[in-house]
Amino acid sequence: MIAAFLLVFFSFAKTGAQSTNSIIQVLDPSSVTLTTEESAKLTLIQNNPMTLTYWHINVNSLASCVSGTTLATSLPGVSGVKSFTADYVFSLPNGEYYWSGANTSGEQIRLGKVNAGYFGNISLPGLDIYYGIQKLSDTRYVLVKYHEDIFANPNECGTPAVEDEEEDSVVEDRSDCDGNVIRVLFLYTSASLNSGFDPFVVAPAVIDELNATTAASGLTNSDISFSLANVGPLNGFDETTNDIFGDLDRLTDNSDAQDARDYSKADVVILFTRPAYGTIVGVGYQTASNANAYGIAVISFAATSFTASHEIGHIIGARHQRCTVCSVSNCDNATNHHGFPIGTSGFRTIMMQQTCAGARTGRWSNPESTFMGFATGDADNNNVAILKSRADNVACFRGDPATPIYPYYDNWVYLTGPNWVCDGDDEQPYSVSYSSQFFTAPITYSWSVSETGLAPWTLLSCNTNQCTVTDINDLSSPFFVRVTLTDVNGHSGTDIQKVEKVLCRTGKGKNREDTGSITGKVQPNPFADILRIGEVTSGARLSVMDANGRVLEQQVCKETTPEFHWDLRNLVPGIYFLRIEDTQGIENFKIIKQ
Amino acid sequence: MKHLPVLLLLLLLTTAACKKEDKCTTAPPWIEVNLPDSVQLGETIMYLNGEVADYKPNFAYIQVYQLMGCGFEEVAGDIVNSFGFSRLPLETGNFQLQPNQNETVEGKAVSGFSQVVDEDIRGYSYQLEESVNGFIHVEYLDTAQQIVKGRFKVAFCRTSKNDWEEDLGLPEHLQFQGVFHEKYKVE
Repeated sequence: MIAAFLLVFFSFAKTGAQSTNSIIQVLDPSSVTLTTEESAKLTLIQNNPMTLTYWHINVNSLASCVSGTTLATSLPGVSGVKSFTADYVFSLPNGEYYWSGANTSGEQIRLGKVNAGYFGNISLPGLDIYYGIQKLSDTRYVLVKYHEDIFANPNECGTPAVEDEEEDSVVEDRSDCDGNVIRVLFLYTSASLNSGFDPFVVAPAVIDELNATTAASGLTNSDISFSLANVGPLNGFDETTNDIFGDLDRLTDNSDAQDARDYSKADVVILFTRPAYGTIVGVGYQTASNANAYGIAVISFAATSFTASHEIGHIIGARHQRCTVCSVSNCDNATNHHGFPIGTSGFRTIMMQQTCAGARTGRWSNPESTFMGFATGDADNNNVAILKSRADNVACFRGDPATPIYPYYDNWVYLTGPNWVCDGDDEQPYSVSYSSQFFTAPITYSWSVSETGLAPWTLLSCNTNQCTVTDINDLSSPFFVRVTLTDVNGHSGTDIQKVEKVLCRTGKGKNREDTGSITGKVQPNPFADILRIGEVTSGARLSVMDANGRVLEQQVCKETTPEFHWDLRNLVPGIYFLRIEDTQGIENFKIIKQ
Repeated sequence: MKHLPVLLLLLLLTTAACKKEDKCTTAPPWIEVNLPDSVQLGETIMYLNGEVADYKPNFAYIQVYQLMGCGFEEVAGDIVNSFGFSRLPLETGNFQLQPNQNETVEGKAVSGFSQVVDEDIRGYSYQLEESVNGFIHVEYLDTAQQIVKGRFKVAFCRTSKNDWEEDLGLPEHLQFQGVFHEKYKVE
């Protein structure tokens, strides 16, 4: 339903005469070469007992087939041109669209394009013909002609569904819980920020999506509602490649995540990640307890494919479809809280997993709710029931704040600067700035410094978003820099940076024996690719570290050499630390990569 | 004392509810496969328990972490089997494996296996079989062309079936070994 907020209705109108182009362009099979992965997917389609035949296709531009509100297209295996009149159309600024139409013969076409590719189906019931577009890859599609039972009642699984007998998990304290507001904390990894999606935009979008979809599915605010508990980074957490459940377990045990959850009084936690898990884009604990109400969503899918809502649905207690629609598999009769394919609408509810049932739309299965004229659930497939029945339990996992606190971002002020500064002969001013996206200008800043991290704090003269501490010699090591800021709305935040004073030698300093002979030991500095290091003894360990002391490169010298050449071209430009450890001690150098 | 029977019953129920997790059984002998010395660019040859396995590779260098990760994934109908190696520096070398993903051990990569059913349901659970002394050996790296060559050996043992009664298609012990020569993405 988030799409409903964002969608820009438009007509795929085309001036001039009605087009006779086909939306489906059938390809000569001899011209189609498939990759191994595409072939594997095609084999699954071929092996589906519901598949009658298929064609390799391209999906043409919708605009080439639409005139006004009418789409005309030819279809393989059908003579003549079929025309449909639009009944539900939208598009998004990013090129995604949905076009649904029907005609007086009861024939329907549902086409869409989302970031995962094209989807759609066409039903011609008078001819007993049912088509579905299936994706083999981003560039390869097939049009599958299905057996007419493909849209048969999905409830015919044989075994009746079993009523849930789930027990409420332990909730320690319900005293500060109003029973229906589920507060969601969104954390994000550093790498997720490089996916082109902003977690500070995606997170509230998911909350809007959840509230809109539950409302559209027949639930009221008193039944269940969702609120944004917080958004923030999960520092130090890196996605492990292709092990999403390992990461989910690790997230659940992560003390920083738990602290952030406690601080934010969040009932549920979703971690946004980079796409590290192959084709898997999200997981969450099924019918979670207070202890494991965690999920993961690849950020690029979180709010575009209902992925985050789907995982939160799992956490609350909703399950996938009870009966399979388009593949051979067993039924899941564990409960009656399943997703549902919405008739021949071309859509499926949020918890319905099988893509052959169409694209997800913003509905939770509910036998008492319809979408495009189709029931969105039945007695055995009713997500709304479980959302409603478990809301007061999940919403009390962490209760609610005693008084509204807005924004919940006070701990989300970050000082960005190195945690060290050069001392001694090479003493330099220490500069730091703050980073946060939550505060609205104009902002007032108060900077101060302390030798203990506790009072007394000495006020600094800076009044912008950055500050420089000049008199380093007067301070102990470590010392602490603090910023407190307040924005135009009266929201405030504080962060403290611990700074170590370290010995730096950039070529002009003294050597270990104070003879001055070390001049030029590290050259050039700044450097481009190769760093030349003066005499290095056998067994010496050379390390390059970032501002946080993390070792990025390391070498152990096998023999004494008068000049060691180190290829450091892989380092991104910036300031680093070179540490030389040998039998005589440790030296640190500040080095600058250009 | 009149509550004692109730307490005992509760204790019994609690004990029964504490389902015993499966544990790894002793690893079977390693099945060594004669891997080729090298393969063509864009090719990965991999074996699972001595049989050729069709897992699609995926290599990426994540700039913000300054680390490389590589994953291998098999899509078998509604089941996705995948494993990977993470926290690899962008350099050649032979990296041993460690199972604790909460720790970063210098010179070691982390490795884990996930089985996913129906897009997001946990299948069988596995953990790294440390007794096998697995490794990933990055033999060649071209950071300009973004090409990586190497080989690996890793084993996982099943720790739980997670209440799945159906056969999810994987045995108790998984022994992977392979050789790769692939382009890697930079993210």
